[in-house]
Amino acid sequence: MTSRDQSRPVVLIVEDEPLIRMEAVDMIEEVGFRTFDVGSANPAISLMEAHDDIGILFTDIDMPGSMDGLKLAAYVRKRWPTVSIVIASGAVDVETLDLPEGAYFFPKPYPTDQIARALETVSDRWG
Amino acid sequence: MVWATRPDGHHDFFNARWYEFTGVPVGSTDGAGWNDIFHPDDQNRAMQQWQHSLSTGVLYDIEYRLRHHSGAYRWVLGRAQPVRNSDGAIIRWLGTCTDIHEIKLADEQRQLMLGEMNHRVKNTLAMVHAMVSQTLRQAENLKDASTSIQSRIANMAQAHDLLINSKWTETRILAVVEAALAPHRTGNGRFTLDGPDIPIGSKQALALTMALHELATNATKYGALSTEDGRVSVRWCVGETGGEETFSFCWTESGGPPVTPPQRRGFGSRMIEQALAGYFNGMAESAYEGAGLSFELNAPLSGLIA
Repeated sequence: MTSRDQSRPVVLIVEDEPLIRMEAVDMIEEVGFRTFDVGSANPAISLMEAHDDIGILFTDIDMPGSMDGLKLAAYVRKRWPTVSIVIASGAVDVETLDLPEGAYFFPKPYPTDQIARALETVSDRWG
Repeated sequence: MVWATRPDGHHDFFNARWYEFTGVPVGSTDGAGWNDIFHPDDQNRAMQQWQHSLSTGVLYDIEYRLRHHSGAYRWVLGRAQPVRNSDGAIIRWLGTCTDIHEIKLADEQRQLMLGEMNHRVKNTLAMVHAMVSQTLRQAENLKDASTSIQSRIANMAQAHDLLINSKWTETRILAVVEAALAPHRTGNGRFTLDGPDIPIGSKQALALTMALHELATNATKYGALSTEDGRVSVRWCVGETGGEETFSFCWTESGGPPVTPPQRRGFGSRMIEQALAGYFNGMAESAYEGAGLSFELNAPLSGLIA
């Protein structure tokens, strides 16, 4: 890791499907970010509380537990307003979704290059 | 059900079938009283559309929920057309209500299923994408990558065939294991399969199929299946620990060349050691003993179906 990576935001990945979660970790680490990865909202919130260097939330929508990805995104936006939000989902009706303002949305399978560019843009604004 | 109104929309006739269905007293739905007997969420829409027909003469055509005498609402198709005199003025409206409840429910089911299927297809594509991406990241050369990807996709496709045959929601584990190992069996009795034929969910079946493919491929390249004397024992069982029902799945190789843990963690080992356990909500471990690789998955029994 170069020293530049230390000033980059850490990415918190929330995805319940194991194989796709592995891919999200690989994809995002390949672009030079450190990551945490969990499968649902509750552990995600615990990690956010414990680590203030998390600057990007990368989350799916469908997941087990009391909160889905959209509710989690809204919660994170309210409590940690400086954290950028990226939502990646197989959901079809994007227009009807209640996305937080400024949140990025990507479909699945991941359009890797587009996601990488979005993360770079967000990272440049961080710190 | 048949009904009729004056040109101003005042309902003055309902047939016996209407009263049989709704159970209301004769005459109680005359005038504009008919509106109250429809579902509260449909009342405004019904009235608006009816007013529109009255003022324009356009055919009345609407799907709404009518209260049955049992208290339940049922979907009906309401239609009406104007009766005109020789001058073209409307003198009556004649209407019908037809029970379409079962059809409507079947249609809603179909929409749900289409949505579900679309979601599953997207998920499968995402899994294939993940597999391809990771294979390419780890591949030494394009030819190796191509071979790996092709055999992995074939393996996933074959898993889907099995799932579709069992109507996608559930199948049994013996069929899953046998189908996954079929391409690797040479008829020489190198495999032993043993375990109860219990139900397994579709996600778990797919993950197990992919993991078995990786285990068998590795065994063929470096392990027990690379020699004539090598053997693979595939055993699984249900048990109980601390009041909770558990599931154990073991792949044990013997009689093959000495093995050591792989230096690079490619897609295969991550599928086996990481992803598989995730799908079952359990833990997986590989051990490279002198005798050969032994792999074990331990999970709560609920993890097979969840």
